[in-house]
Amino acid sequence: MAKILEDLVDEIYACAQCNYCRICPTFKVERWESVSPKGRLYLLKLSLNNSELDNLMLKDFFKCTTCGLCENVCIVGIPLLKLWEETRNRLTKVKGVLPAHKKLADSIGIYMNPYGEEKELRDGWFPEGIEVSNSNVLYFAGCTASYRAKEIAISTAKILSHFEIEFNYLRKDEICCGSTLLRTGQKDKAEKLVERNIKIWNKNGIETIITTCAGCYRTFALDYPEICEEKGIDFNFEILHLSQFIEREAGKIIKNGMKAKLRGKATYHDPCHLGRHAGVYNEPRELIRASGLDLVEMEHTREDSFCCGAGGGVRAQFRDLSLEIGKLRLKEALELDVDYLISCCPFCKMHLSHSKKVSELEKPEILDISEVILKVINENGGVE
Amino acid sequence: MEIMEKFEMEVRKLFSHVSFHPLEIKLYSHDISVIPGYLEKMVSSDAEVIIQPESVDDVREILRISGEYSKPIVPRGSATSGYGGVVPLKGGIVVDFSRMNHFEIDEETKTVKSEPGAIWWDIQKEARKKNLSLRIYPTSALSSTVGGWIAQGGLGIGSTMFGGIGENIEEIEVLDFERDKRVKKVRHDNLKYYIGMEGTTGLITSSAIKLMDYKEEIPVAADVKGVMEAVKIVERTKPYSAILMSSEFFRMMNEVKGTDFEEKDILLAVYLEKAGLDGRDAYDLWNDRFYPLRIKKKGPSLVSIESLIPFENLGSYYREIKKEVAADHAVQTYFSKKEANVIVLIPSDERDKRFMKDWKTAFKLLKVGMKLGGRPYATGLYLSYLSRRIILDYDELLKFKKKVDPANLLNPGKIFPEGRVPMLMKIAGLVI
Repeated sequence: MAKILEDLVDEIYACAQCNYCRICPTFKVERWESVSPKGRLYLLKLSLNNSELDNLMLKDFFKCTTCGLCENVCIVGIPLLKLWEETRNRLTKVKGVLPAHKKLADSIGIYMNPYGEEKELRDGWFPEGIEVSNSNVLYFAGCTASYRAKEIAISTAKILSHFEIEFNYLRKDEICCGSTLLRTGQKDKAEKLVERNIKIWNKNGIETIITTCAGCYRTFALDYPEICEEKGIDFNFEILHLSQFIEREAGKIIKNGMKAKLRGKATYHDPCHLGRHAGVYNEPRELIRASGLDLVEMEHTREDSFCCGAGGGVRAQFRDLSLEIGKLRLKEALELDVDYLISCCPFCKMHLSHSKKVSELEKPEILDISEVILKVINENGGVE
Repeated sequence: MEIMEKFEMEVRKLFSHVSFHPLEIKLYSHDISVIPGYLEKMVSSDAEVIIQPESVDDVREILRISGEYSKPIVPRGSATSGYGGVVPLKGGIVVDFSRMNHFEIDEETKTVKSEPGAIWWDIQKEARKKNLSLRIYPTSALSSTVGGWIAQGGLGIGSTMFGGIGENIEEIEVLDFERDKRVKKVRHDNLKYYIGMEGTTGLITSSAIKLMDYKEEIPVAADVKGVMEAVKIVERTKPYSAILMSSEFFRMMNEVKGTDFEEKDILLAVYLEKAGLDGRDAYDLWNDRFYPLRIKKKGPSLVSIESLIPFENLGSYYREIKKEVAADHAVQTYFSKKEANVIVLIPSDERDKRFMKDWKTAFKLLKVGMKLGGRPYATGLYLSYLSRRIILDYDELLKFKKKVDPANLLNPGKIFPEGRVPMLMKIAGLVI
């Protein structure tokens, strides 16, 4: 163990043990040091001094949702997010991959999505009557919106069509972005997807990629350029989240041109991958305000936003824990008595909806930004 | 059945949140300090079990099994202090109070009644919603606990106006080994038996802490020439809180954080409602009050020594710091009512020879401070050999300890020296 951590030693020793990172969503639920960022750093320090991590403690390393809140509060500025992912990559090499994460990787290997769904069904959501063009603007729906939260993909296609934006969609040629693999310590497997995706995009003359998934967005915007640089591959794509694209292309139309507005009180959940990781905070909020909804903020918002609990492979491997974190996030929304909890990520939506269901709550309605935009378009006599 | 097996079985049966896992135990057997490795091995041991109580009844049960199996109890908050107060000396039960974190604010009496595991800043956030505020809180308020800071006898933000935590408590509730298993309600003069006593005389289960009406905080920064000028300003203008930060501190901050603070000796004086001093506004410094340890990144380790020095001797102490500390260092001085907590921070590296040298400097400063009428901020485990010299009413407190904890199971070795640690640390102070 000590050997594989050698080059991370300065980061590991820098921890001030101030415990400010007890803000960690996983710690908030489990309350044991071994799952707190500080505790994990201390365990790594023990490993450097030849203390062997057993399987129980290894598991605790994977209870982190890689939300990055710890890095945000770290007083000595340790690049924790990178450290957790790097540590996971190394741990899986010597200790193996956790069962649920292996299953995800196996599914991706066979079906090109982590859900084990048939490749042939990937574009089953695509609405009739909407045309796909050979545009250099690609809509990348991602695995979750393609198979589990189809309403997001459907809304997106309708929105793009409504604003007469020509877009390409690769249908059955679209494959997983690799985010799940990167977050669960399986970078080597993800790298193959990176190469394959770039080949497909180049072949189709793609220049701009629009995603509705915060995970895909982070992976394309941050991980792909880094991996491409390591591998000497050119990466010349503009990556945009749908909220950024629509705000840029049609924000003013929605705000000023669409007179019929939505009514109700809403709050916005910053997906960790889109917000804290990639710095996209304003565009979704601008669109929510433009829709007419009364936007109020939860206690933890923007850079300090609280994870939904699904990321980092936690939902797959530690379902109960992930739902408990989801409930904590829902509680913040409930305190505001909002009608809508809006996010920008199908995985967040799916998980928060699941947390809501197990909590037997009636409110708030959980929506994706794409659904909000479509609603306001419809209010104004749009596509339906 | 072996006694340990029986103990484990009973503990698992009694409590919902326990861990006997050896690595988890390691995580709960140290505090924020890093002391030279050989010394650490000699002065501390690992706990045998971690228990996270959820109620006063749980705490009562912990006391019962502690007595039954003769297992020492080591109460633990967030372990953000560095004197070994939460480090087990003889194994036993680490009681992690983090699940007992409820609190209730009484707007009429302007107090908060809190369980020991509540986080100071969580209380402050709720108090602010009711237009109230804590009078004092630690610089580690974002993570440190009510119980931990009371047991430490803390001084911190607001102490310039309101003194130490002891002066800001109405009442505490305590459990100990006395035959009556009801919680003791402790007020007034009797608080001295518990505040700053590191849990050696009882386990605090609840505290009623004084609040104040919220008043806008106005931070003002003033350049000062020497610590005594800062003292004069503090005495003349009576701020709510005052911190003197050395130019070296700002240089280090600029180095590690990329900020562009002026690299001067600066007094940050914070007033309530109306500034009592001409100077520039200093919201940037005030907002950074929770992060004095940022400069640890320079290390990656940090050796620090905290001494409470009477105002009148601060000038002499600062001169001694200059004389004694050859290594690059920063100084932060937190003013209380009549004394100041002078914290000397030396970026170091625990993997390197200089670590020992820096510790030697720390011990030297401690001695110098004591010669100038000062005392260490706390004694904990590592400095318990100094308790008799620096704690007022030491003999009375010891007598009380023997009465409520005759078997010496409540955080043994802390405050009241025991075993070989005092001697080892004394020697360490002489030789390292």
